[in-house]
Amino acid sequence: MTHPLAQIGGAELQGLARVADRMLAGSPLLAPGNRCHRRRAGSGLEFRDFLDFAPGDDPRNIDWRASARSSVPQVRSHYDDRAADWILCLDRSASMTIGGGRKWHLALQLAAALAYLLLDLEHRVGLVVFSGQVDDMRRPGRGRSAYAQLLRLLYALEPVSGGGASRLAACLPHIPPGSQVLVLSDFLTPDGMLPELHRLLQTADQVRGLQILDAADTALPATGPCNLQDIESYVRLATELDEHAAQAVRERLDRWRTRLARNCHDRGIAFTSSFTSSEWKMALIAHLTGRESSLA
Amino acid sequence: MPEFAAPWALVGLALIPLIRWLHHYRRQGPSVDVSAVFLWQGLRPDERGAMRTARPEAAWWRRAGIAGLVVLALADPRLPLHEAETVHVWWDHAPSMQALEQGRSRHAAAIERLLEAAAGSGVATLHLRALRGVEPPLELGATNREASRTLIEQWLDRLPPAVGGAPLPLLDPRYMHWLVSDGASADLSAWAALQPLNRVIAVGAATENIAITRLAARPAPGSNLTVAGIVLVHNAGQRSSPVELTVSTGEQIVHRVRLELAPAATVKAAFSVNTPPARLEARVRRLDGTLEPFGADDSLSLALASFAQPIPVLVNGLCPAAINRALAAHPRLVRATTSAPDAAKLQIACTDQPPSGGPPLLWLPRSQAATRLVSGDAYWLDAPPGGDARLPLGTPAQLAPPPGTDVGQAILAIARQPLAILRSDPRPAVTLLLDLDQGAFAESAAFARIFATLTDRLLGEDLLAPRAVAFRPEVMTGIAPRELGLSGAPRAAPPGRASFGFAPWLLWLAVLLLAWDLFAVMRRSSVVVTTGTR
Repeated sequence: MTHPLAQIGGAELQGLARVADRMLAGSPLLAPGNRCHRRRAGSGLEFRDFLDFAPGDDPRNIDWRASARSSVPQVRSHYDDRAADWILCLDRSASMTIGGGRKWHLALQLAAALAYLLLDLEHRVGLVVFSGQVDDMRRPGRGRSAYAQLLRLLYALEPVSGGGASRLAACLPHIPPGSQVLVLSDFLTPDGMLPELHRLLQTADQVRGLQILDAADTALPATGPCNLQDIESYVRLATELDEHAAQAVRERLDRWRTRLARNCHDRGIAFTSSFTSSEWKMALIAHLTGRESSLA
Repeated sequence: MPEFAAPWALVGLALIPLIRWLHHYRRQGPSVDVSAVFLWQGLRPDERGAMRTARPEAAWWRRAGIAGLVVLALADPRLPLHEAETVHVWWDHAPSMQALEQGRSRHAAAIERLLEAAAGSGVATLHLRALRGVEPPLELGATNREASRTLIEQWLDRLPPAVGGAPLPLLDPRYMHWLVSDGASADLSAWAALQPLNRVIAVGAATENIAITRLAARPAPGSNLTVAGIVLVHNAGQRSSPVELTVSTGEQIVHRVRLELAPAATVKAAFSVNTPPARLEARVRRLDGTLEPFGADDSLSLALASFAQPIPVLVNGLCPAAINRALAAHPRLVRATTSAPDAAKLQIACTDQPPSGGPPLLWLPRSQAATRLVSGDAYWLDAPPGGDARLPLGTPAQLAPPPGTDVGQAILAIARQPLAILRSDPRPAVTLLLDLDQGAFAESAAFARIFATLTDRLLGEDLLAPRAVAFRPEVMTGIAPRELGLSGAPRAAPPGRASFGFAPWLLWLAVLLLAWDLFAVMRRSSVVVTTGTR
């Protein structure tokens, strides 16, 4: 069986890279040739706008010509030349193995593809792999060497087989202030990791969530009497099941997912869900465009 | 209240949590891993659709009931047909139980404790028995408390003082036994640890006691008019105490001394009285101001009315002159002035046949049988171990043959021939087989020793060294309570006692529950299972 990362083609990545900048930035670049994602004013060289002088401004930035045309001194502001730091938080908890590991495979492909796209946009990209705790990490790096390092790490990763937990908050110490965070997970906790996303938002400049689900999450595991066991918490539930109950659970998951997405949107968190029936490319475009893939 | 004949079987009730665990974690059906069990929890009835509501707890209740009933049946529960039963109460009436604490004796405190315990246990009848002795027991039925208290007090008044070291009873393990004691007797702890006691009613807390354990007097050497005496004072407590000892004749104090008593120590005080009194009394009191809980052993009296008085001897028959000389030389023996046997305390007979009655007898048979001359050493055959049994005769003696009808125990022998034979029935009598008319043995010191020893034996006292003694064993002076533990093996249920055992009923109930459970399992496996959640 080929590794899921081997299914990512270089041509597809390069094609995606051409449109990814626009999708990620939300606004076009102002200067040809400079493809950094600029969102904040800073100490760069590219002119952004004139601003009224305020105490604390550097007097060297006063533009005398513009001040002569105005009644108050004007200072020049510039775009920040620094590239953004992106941190990919990859969930490797045991729930990612449900459904024959399809969720995990798709998460690996998405992580690799996102890393390629962001590095191609000259951002610095890091990776934090978490379950109940931080299992592995790579600090933000730039260029091809960083991509090679991330790929090596992704190739070596295996999901937790059972037990543990999905604790996104464990990643907090490894998130640089002002960075961009993208969480790849199934978010299958009763609270949908919403409190932890909110805490990330207090540190990071932007937080995005890409939920990966599989039909096995709501598939009828058995009929008749059975013991359902949570693969992470090992909480057991003795029950009797039939197809009607499974349908009710699917509907419950849809409601839960919709509520989670709405809550994320209210907090300014870009959140999309993808099912493993979709290819990685479609899942990636769906996230970049803000449209969810359909239920398989 | 039901009782259990085999209460250890109740340990099996620990199986019930195990069954609960098995039902919780090992329910029937496969175990399936899911990514989020919270999605499957608490489905509403409309979400469950047509599924049948499962009741997994019912099976658990049935099986727990089966296990509990079987365990209870193994414990053999019995309901006594008579609600209450008889308890044998062994009452320690040692002197220490008379010690006063908080204004009342330990007996009084024990009565209250016993009646409280009996009322709290639902006991129908109490059989009060003296711990030491064979006095008749007191049976207490369902009477009111005041009447019971009075009856016990009267019964205790009738009990003679317990003798220290008297044997303790072996208790019948088939019955319930309670012990009432302060534990002051040294041998009680070991006894209680081996007996099937169901309850110990312990009383007493005081530990300090001083006692006079011996008061003895004898004529002072060299003067029959002076009496020399000693007093032993024992501290049975755990603290040192200064005491004052006084010896009085009833009218006047003849001796007063201050003594310092260390814990568990015995101090001897000597005194003398110039005029022999009729009575002596020694008394001790504390000087440190502490209260003496047990005052009954603080004094000891001694009657000296018959002290060193002459003993009249009746002489029958024609006795050898040596007998008359021995009587005349003996400081305590005098010839009786009358021939009435009742007037004498000892009789000496030199006749062919011994007198049939009268006081203790020293008989010298008068017969015509040939005697034989013996010499060397005679031996006391009943001398105590380590005592001097050898009696050198010095002078050869004429040994008479024993009379054919005389049966007794030889106590003095020479050359394998009896020299003195002791009989105890109908009264103490010694047959002395010596022909004192021949030879010079009657003049010897050995004969004087034989005569003095035999008269001492017959009268049961040391006539040549008279003394009067009153004593109290030291073991009876301790009042400090000791812990009395139960043996841990009291009687479980008296045999033959009427009771109703309902173990078979419990087993039948368990069988019914088992049948129900089997039916439920078979029904469950035969119908089409729809669905259900807890």
